[in-house]
Amino acid sequence: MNAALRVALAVIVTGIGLAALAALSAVPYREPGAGDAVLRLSWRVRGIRVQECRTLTPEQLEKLPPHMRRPEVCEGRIAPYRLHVRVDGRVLQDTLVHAAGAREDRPVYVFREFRVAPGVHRVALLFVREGGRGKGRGEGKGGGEEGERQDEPPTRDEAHGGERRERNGESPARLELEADVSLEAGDVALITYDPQQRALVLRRG
Amino acid sequence: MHTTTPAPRHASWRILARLDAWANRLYGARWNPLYHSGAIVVALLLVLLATGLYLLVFYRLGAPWASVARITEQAWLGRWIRGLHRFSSDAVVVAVAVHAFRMYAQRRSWGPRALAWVSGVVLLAVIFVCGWTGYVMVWDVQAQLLAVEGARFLDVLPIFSEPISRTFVGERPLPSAFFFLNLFAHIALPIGLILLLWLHVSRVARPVLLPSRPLLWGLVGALILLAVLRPVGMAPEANLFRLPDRVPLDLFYAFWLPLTRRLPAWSVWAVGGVLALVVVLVPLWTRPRPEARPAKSVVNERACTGCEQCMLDCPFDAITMVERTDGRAGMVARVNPDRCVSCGICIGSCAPMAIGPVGRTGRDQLALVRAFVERERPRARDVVVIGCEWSAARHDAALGGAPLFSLPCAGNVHTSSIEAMLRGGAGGVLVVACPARDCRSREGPRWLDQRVWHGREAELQERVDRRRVRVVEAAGAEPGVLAAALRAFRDDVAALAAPGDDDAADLIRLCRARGEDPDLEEAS
Repeated sequence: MNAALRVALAVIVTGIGLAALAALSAVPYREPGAGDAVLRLSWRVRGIRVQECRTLTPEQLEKLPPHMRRPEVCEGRIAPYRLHVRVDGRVLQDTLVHAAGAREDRPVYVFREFRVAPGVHRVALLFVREGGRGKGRGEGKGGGEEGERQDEPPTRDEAHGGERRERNGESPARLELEADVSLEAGDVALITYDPQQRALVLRRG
Repeated sequence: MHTTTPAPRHASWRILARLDAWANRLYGARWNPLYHSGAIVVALLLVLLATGLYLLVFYRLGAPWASVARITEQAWLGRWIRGLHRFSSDAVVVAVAVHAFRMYAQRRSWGPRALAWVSGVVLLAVIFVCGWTGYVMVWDVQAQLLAVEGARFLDVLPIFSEPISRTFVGERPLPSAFFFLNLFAHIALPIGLILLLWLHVSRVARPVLLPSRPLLWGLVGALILLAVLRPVGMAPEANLFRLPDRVPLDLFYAFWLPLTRRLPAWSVWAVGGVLALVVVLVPLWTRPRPEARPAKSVVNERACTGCEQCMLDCPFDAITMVERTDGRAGMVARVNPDRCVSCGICIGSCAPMAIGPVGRTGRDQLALVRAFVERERPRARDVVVIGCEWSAARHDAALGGAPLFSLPCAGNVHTSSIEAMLRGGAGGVLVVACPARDCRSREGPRWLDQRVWHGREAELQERVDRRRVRVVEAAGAEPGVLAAALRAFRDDVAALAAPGDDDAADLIRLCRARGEDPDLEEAS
C-alpha cells in the first residue's frame, strides 16, 4: 500500500474510532414508561416492641448453664404494619411490612413506587400496626400478639402506654391518607411520614 | 515438532489475528494500538489521574451539578479537560476489552497466568465502579439513574437495615455527606487500582507499563482533539421529583442500565454473578486437558554452567540461581514450575543446551533439525523456514514450497539450529516470528533478534554468514508479509555465491584455528 494512502487511511480510521467513542459516550436513552407518573411511598416509623414470654420447665432450666437460668424467657420484635394502597379504588398493595433487621427489632421502613398514568388520581392509603396491643417498649409480658382494636377507647393502661410511646418517639398505630393527586407525565409524588404532624403527608417537587 | 499450546485454530484467535493484520497494515506493527492495549490502559489511567486532579480543584460537594457546569463553562481549559477525563475513561474500557480478548484468544489466561487474568477481571470491576462514582459526582439525570439503580441493587443485600433507596426519594435534600462518600470512593478506588495493577504484572519480569512515546502522545493528542471538537455537555440536573426522560447515557459504563431497569434486582445479581463467575473461571475452561498441557522447563544440572543467561532472559521470572548440590562450586539454574508457562525462551538462551521444557531442550531441537535436514535435503539455493506456529508461517501458501521447521515461539530457536541448517546445505534460513509486541511468550522476537544480530548469549556464531540468515516478523494473519519477505530473501540468497566448498572449508578452518570442534553437537 502506498505510504501516503496508508497514513490517510490510518487518520480516517482513527477519526472514525474517536467519533464512535464520542457517540457511544452519550447515547440518548429514554426510559421505558418515561411518560408515566410515579406515586412514591417512603417513610420510616418506630414501631412498638412486642414480646412473648414463656416460663421454662425445671428440666429446661437444668439444661442451661447456671448463670443463664432465668425462669422466664422473653423474645421480642417490633410489631409489623399492614400497608394498604388504593388508587382510584383499585388495590395496588395490601401487604404486611415487617420491621427491618434479622430479628425484626429495627424501625419499620416503607419504600414503594407505583407507576400511574398522568392525571388526577384518588389515592387512599392505610398503614396500620398489626398485633402488639399497643404495649410499649419493655411492656407487655405474655401474649401481645392479638390485633389492636382501634374502635375501642384505650384503657387506662393503654393510655399510659401511649404517653410512653410519645416519649420514645414511637409512631402512631394507624396512619392514613386520602387525597386527590394530580400528576403530569414524569412527575413523582411522594407520600411520607411527617414526625412533627405525626401523619402521612403528600410532597411534591 | 512439539507444540506447547493448543494449535491456533479457534475462532477467537482467527478474529484477533485478522484485526491485528488490518491494524498492522494501517499503523505498522510497531505502532499497532491493538498490540499495546495493556500499556494503553495504564497510560489512560495516568491521564485520568492528571485531569481528575484538575477537576477536583473546582468540584464542590455542596453544589455538584453547578460546580461541574462551571467547569464546563471554562472554554479554554475546564471544558476540554473534562472532555479528556470523560473520553479517557471510555477509552480505558475499550482498551481493557481489547486486552482481555487478546489474552483469551491467545490462551494466555491459564496456569501461572491465571493470577493476571483474575486480577485483571477485578481491575475491570474496580474501573467500572470508579466510572459509576464519577458519573454520580456530576449529579445530572444520568447520575440520578445510576444512583437510584445502584441503590436498588444494594437494597437486595441483607446487610442494610434501612433501604438505601430511601436516600433518593426526595424526602430531604441529598446531604453533602453522600457526595463526600462518593468522592472518597472515586479517589480511593484508584489507589486500589495501583495495588491491583502491581498484582496483575507481578509474574512478569519486565512489564511494559507505557506504550512507546509516539503512540502515547498520539493517543493523548487524539483524545484532546476529540475533547475540543466534541465538548462534553451538561445534561439536566437530577431532580428526584421527576422521572429522567431523555438521558445521555455513557454506554461504556452504563450499558447494562437499559437491560436492568425492568428486572428485579435479585435477578440482576444472579445474572451478573453467573457472568462474573464465567469470566473469572476462564483460566479453568481454557486450559488444555492434562495430557495436552506443555511440560515445564527443567535444568540439566550437569550441563548448566551457572551463567545466569536463562534467568536474565526468562520473561516470567521463573528461573533463579541456587547453590549447586553436586559438589561443584558455583551456581546452577532452578526453574520454579509455579511460574513457568512453558514458553521455551530459555531454550534459546542456553549455550550448553542445559535447560528447556522436557523434550524441547536445545539438544532435542538440534536432533530434530538434523532429522529435518536429512529429510528435506536442502540445496544451496533453497531457503528453509523456521517458523513460530502462531506466526504467518502456519500458512502453507505463504511458504511457497519452502521446508518449514515449526516451533512454538521464535524465541525458542537455538542459534545452533540455524547454523546446523546452513551447514546441512540450505542456502538461507528465514526465521518467522510474530511482531515483537504480539509474542505470546512476551520476549521471543526480542531475544531472537539480540541472539542473531547483537551477540546476546547464546549468540549466533561469528562464523555463520549473516547474509544467509534473516528474521521476519509476520503476524498470524499476514501470509502476504511472509510471502514477500521469502521472495526477497530467496532472490538475495540466489545472488550469493553458493555456500560451496570454499565457504565450508573456511568455516572448518576457522573452527580449527579457534581450537573448536567443527562438529556442532560436540561444540555445543
